[in-house]
Amino acid sequence: MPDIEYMFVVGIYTLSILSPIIIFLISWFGGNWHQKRLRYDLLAREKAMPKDNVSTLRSPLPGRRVVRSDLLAINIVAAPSHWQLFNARIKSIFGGNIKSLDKILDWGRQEAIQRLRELAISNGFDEVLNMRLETSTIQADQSGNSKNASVEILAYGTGVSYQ
Amino acid sequence: MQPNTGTPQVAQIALSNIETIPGRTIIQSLGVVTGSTVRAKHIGKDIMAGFKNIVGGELKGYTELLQESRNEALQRLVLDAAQRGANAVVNVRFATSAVAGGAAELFAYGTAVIIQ
Repeated sequence: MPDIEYMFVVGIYTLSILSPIIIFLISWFGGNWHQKRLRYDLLAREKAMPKDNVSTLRSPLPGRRVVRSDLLAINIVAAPSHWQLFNARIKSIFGGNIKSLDKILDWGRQEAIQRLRELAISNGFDEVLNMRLETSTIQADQSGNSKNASVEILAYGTGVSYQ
Repeated sequence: MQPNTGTPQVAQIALSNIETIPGRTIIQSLGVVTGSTVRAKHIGKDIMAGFKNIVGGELKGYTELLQESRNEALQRLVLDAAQRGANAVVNVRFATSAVAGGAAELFAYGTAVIIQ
């Protein structure tokens, strides 16, 4: 049956050519949809907060007595989609502002801070003092052009509750 | 039940990332204490992260991994502080660096002190 064999080979070839394109399209449309949903979700959670309880002050406001304190830390690993990375590579030829990476990093930071706020509330702290953000690149090979890229964003601070 | 603050809860050691433990007085400094750990996730999680990378967003597997390792690094820091006879660690800082693909070094350091 040479016919079936031939079709099988043709099928494999077509699939191997098409699969990167399919992944690329999924990355483009799926990634945009997914990240838009993440941003809206974050915005809704931020709006639901009565007030911002995170600050970068190093000591509590005068006149307040602290009864309890502890270190709070939360992290998030944010990754751009393949489409965004591709976009960034094209843009970096001409230089300038790379919007696609801006978006995901901005989301990651805001999400980390929002999680710190929620962590403080769930542990019964009134405020978080001396909030710090640290960003580090993980998952990139030696030359720095891995197909996958991601950044870790860590937000930490001292949670305090007042009398 | 222990509260989940994202950091290990040790009854004797108080942690903070400002110069003092708010509301307490420092009476003695015992020097720098450190804790570090290098960790990697098993390959299944790496592959899942690779798939998740197609659409971007959060990579939960790696978030989890780094959270676990940070806790371990902090636990070593606390152990170091306890061995010196401290009852608090102030000015705790974190640092992260990638050693190899999928493995990360987490580092925590601070000043061990005795508080009243």
